[in-house]
Amino acid sequence: MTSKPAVALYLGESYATIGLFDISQKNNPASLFEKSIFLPQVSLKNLLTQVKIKYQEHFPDYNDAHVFVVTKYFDRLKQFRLGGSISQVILKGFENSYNLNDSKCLSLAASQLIISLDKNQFEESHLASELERIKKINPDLNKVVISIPEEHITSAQMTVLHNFFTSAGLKIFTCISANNQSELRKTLLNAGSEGTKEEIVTELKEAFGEKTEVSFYSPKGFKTQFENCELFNSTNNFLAKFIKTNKYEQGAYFDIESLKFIQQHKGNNWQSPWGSIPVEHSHYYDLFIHPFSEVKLNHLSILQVESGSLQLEPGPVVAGRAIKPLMLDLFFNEMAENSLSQNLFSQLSQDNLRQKISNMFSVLEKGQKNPALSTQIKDLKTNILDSIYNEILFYSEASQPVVFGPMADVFVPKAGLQRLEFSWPQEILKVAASEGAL
Amino acid sequence: MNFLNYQSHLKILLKNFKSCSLVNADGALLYSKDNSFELLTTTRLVAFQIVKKYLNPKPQDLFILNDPENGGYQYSKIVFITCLNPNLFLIWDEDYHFIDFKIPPTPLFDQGRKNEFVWQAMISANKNADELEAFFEYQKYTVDRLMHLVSLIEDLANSKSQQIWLKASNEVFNTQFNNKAHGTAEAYFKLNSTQTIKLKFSAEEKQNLKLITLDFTNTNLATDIHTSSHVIESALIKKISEFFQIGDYLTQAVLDKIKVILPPRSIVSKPHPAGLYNYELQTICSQVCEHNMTQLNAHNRKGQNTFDYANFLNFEVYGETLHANNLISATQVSLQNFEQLICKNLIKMTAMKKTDSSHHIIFSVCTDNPLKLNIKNNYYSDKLNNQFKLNDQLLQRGSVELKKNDRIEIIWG
Repeated sequence: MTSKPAVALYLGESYATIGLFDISQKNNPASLFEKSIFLPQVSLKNLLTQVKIKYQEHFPDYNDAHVFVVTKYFDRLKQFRLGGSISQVILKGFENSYNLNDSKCLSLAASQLIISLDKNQFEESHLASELERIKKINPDLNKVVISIPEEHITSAQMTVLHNFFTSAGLKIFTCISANNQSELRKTLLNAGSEGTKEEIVTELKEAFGEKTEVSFYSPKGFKTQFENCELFNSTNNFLAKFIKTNKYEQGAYFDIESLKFIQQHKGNNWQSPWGSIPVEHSHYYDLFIHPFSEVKLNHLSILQVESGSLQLEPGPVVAGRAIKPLMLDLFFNEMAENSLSQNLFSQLSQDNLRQKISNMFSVLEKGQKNPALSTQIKDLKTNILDSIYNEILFYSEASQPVVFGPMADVFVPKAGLQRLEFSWPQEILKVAASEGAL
Repeated sequence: MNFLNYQSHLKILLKNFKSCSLVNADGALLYSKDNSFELLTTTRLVAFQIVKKYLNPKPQDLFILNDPENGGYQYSKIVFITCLNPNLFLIWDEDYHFIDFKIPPTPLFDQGRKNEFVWQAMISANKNADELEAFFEYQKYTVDRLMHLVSLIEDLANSKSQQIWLKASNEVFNTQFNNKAHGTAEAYFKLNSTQTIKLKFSAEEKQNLKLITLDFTNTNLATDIHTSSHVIESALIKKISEFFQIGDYLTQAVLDKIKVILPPRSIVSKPHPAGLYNYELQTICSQVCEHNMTQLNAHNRKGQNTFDYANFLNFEVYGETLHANNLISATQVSLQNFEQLICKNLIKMTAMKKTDSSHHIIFSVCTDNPLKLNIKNNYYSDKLNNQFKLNDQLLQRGSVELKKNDRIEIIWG
């Protein structure tokens, strides 16, 4: 039987895991290669180059790979205002209307790049002068969101707009329901995350060839066509599917960049950092403690894991470069036995790194000024594990909680919780197979 | 159990509540959070004391109240009180805008069982019975969810653990108190031509006793605009907690260090029957308090020392099934549920513009069913260009009924 390739990629915020498979026997795909990298240290391009060598070795006759992607990479955007290279074409009087619902949300578009039009301003000459104006503000502007309510524009005027911006080389995103501010936010988010998606697709096509078919996991399964905003919950939707396949209602997932609790039931409005976005997604809760949160003395000189700010770059001290210890670093001993950690952090077993981490925590312990508010590192670790366990119980209510994920052995604190085996490439391929996508 | 463990237990237990307090059997505050516009820490403590005194709560009882003259805040703000453990009580509040009647302290569930008499009289007879029932059932469900965390609740109810936590919060307060300037500062706000709110803030340490005093002496007696003392105290406590960066450690140990002097029957100590001015007076007192603390801690105390009020606009638009509470201020615009009013074709926007310094909103009513508009505070100021117009007529505080094709225009900033 002829060999047939498939690539399964989990692209997280901070790490990626890839698997190359021979799927000539659909019921029994053969794993040919698997590797994980820590993205602040090794680029995705570098990882893909390694897979490409294996790919060419095993499949010399193929140049149209099928790549299945589950991603959390878009979470990187969640800390930022978007829309720096997007123009908004809207009706005069509706400038920045998309964030009046809650102005404290992150912005999705730059005010200076708005083209606001009156009914009599849809001619090309006016559009040209407006485009010239905003191109002076941002010469790299390459996308435009058109959001004019149907009752204010004729189809001929809409055609003028489309033709004008297409000929100007701008990618057009049209809001289908311009009177609905949440639909406008959704369109702006689609435009704002287009660059990130294109970056991923381009790298995959560079590695496996132009004909490569890239399917991302969306609420409807692995798809090549989707709205970009659906990719923000790609991982959560996939993990919910995994839980369902294993006949559970809910479960806790642990890896190096997230500790979360996922439920089966779905919502239609995602409360994003940019406001409410109408997109189907599985319900999930991030646990209080994040593996990339800094362990520090706070303003009260209390030793604790800081909530909120995540130190994705340069990452934990166990990765070798960082100078701020993170929550992950507290578990460097346990991580030495964990296969994902061994894969990602090659220096983990080095005595000098382990000594460095111990010294850092020792300095923090001794830096506590008030004996009445002092904590020892071992107690902090116990608190973290207790907190994780209690939070799992909190979300799982009366039902039996299940835990899984590449770091489940490090963070699952107590016996009595059911654990499921989980490997990203294997599970991605299983789901692709179950959807008939192989 | 150490204090950090106790803190993470508290946060997990109360994760799903936006606005709540936890107290022990003595009524000592263990934790409080206020993430809504309105602030209710002291209101919840008063509600607990009333229920404890007259109704003796047992595990799985659930009581409600909303009477602004009897421990409540306003009709639409329902305060819930439940006993999680004989030494642990949870008090929280939720908005339900279709309750427009007074509820005295009332047992909704009696040791886990529905109080049929109350249910029949208050809920089944209501015109929004289904929604009201779902609302109360959901509140009960949120408590039931907590009750399966047996070990966590026992840990939090443990007297020894509570002492460790209160001791830690006392240490935190002492540290933060010492980090700020000691002394006094005072400021006033003219509510109108005849009425003034005066507040003197002092932070002093005498014979090792650290004390923050908030003194409203010389504030005028109440006439038409006034509120309960617990409403004012809640706002001041929150402001002090933020200024001193006390965070999660706002407990009884901190409350014991704050003394509030409120002249009887004054603007800040006379309950209003419907609590109409609560949020506005909370905002004013909170800003005066912050001004005083900032002045006291300023490096250059000769700088700006007159109090400038940062005004805001709080208005609600509602129909039979939808309620939108809206806030526009210098720092925030929050038009909650406004998008639903648009999507359900109750209103139609003709302008909705935000620039760096101003907001311009125009909408017209497009439903035959009446909508109500209620401007909840005195937003108008001669100094600024803020306007709220109905069919080109300037509106002031108060409620009006909106008809089809009525046009509302809001200019802010």
